Amino acid sequence: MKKILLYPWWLRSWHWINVILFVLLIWTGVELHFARPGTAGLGFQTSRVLHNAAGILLTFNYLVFLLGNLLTKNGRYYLLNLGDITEGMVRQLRFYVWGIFRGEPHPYPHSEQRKFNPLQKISYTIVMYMILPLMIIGGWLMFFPDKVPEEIIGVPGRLFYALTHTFLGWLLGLFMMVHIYLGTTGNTPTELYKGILTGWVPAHGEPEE
Amino acid sequence: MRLPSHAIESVSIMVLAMSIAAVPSKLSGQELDEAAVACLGCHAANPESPGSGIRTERFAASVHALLGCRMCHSTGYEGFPHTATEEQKAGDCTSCHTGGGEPYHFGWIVNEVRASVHGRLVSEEFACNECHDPHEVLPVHRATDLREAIAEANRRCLDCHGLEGGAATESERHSLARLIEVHSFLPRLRQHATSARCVECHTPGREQTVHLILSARSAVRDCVECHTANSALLDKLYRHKAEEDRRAGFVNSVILNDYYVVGATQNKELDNVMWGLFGLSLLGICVHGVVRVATGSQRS
Repeated sequence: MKKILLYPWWLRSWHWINVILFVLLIWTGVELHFARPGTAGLGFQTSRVLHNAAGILLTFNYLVFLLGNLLTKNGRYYLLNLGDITEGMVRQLRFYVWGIFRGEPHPYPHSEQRKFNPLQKISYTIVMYMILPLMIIGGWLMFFPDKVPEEIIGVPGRLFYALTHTFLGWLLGLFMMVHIYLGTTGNTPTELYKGILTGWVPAHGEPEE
Repeated sequence: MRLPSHAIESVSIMVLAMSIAAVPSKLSGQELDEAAVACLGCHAANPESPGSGIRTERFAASVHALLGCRMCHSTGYEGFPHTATEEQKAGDCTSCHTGGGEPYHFGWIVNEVRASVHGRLVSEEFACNECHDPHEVLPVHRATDLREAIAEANRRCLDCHGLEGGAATESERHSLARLIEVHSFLPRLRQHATSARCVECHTPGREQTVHLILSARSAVRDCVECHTANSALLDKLYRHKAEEDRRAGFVNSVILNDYYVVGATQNKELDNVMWGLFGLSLLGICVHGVVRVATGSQRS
């Protein structure tokens, strides 16, 4: 079967660096948020240092993502076709809750022109262009607490950013869990994992209508 | 500092107890009694020269304002010029603070000070006014501005432990430079120093032992003492406020009214909802995976 290079080296590197940083940030974030005296783990001080360091690295990695999407054709995979996005999402959702159990082909298989199905497009756009930037900005603001405004929309400034940061952290944790599982929903459970490791995925062609 | 050997006039204690009960958290200068105003005619601080006398505003705001001047400055101040001897110049705090029950009975404080690093290394007679200006006494929990109260509490420590000069020599171990150096393990030192009092970490355990100041070696260094749901701040800085102003959903919400403290001001409702979502998602994934495997093996 014809294979296409969906994940060039820079994107694979970005992705796996992201994986390491996400795991580290979630781990240390949980330790900081649910800190208890005498519990096993990295400890508050170490978690703080690692969380800060990983946050800074994640910022740079995010800039790599932005630059990569600007300078290569990867950015266009995220472009939403607003005309049929709802229909596309319903079709993809139907596949996940029905078609996948009946062995139906993927409604939006990979091709040179298409890396993401409509659900991926919308969720990756929300995660990469809304949640993650907010998370990073909030993280940096908490890194300089004396620069945070005393009050934001009637809520103490630091509380506002801390709560937002915590909430978005939870959402990104959820995203990661679902992302890892959906990574097994290729034509074989390992097909997509091999893709993000080697860059190459099989092109299964357009589905039969 | 010794407990007074002489008996206290019962009337003084009654007046003291009644005054304390009536002391509002903040008074205006106009509410000082006439006698005190007369004294302040000479003894008020010159705004140009701090430390030159009584700072009227602070005295008026203090818990001692309603006592006037003569409660403590009694013998030797009947006429002018004053005839008070050195010993008579100021009353001993414990001459009033021995009755009336806690918190106005200072016996336990005297014991804490004696056992503290100040009592052991500086002087067994380490007096209240080494740290507290009786004209400006305003307990943290009565202050209208917590940050200001914290700054005031820490200023008392810095008066002796924040001296100008280098940090290198043993004789300069009370310098500000050395103070900053030994606290360098604290991230955001300025934030810590303006959000909590020195005594939060420099006194033992979770009891109200703010006068039992320990040697630096015994100070709390474990961040999680405060940065946790069961924060020590609740037993110290927020001891008197812990029952007030709770915000729905937050643990340690009383702290939240002033700060966000990582680890200590979690929102339980948010966390519970998100744990729930995590659980449901995980369950969904498991069910989906099992059905996939089952239907897949059926097909094959």
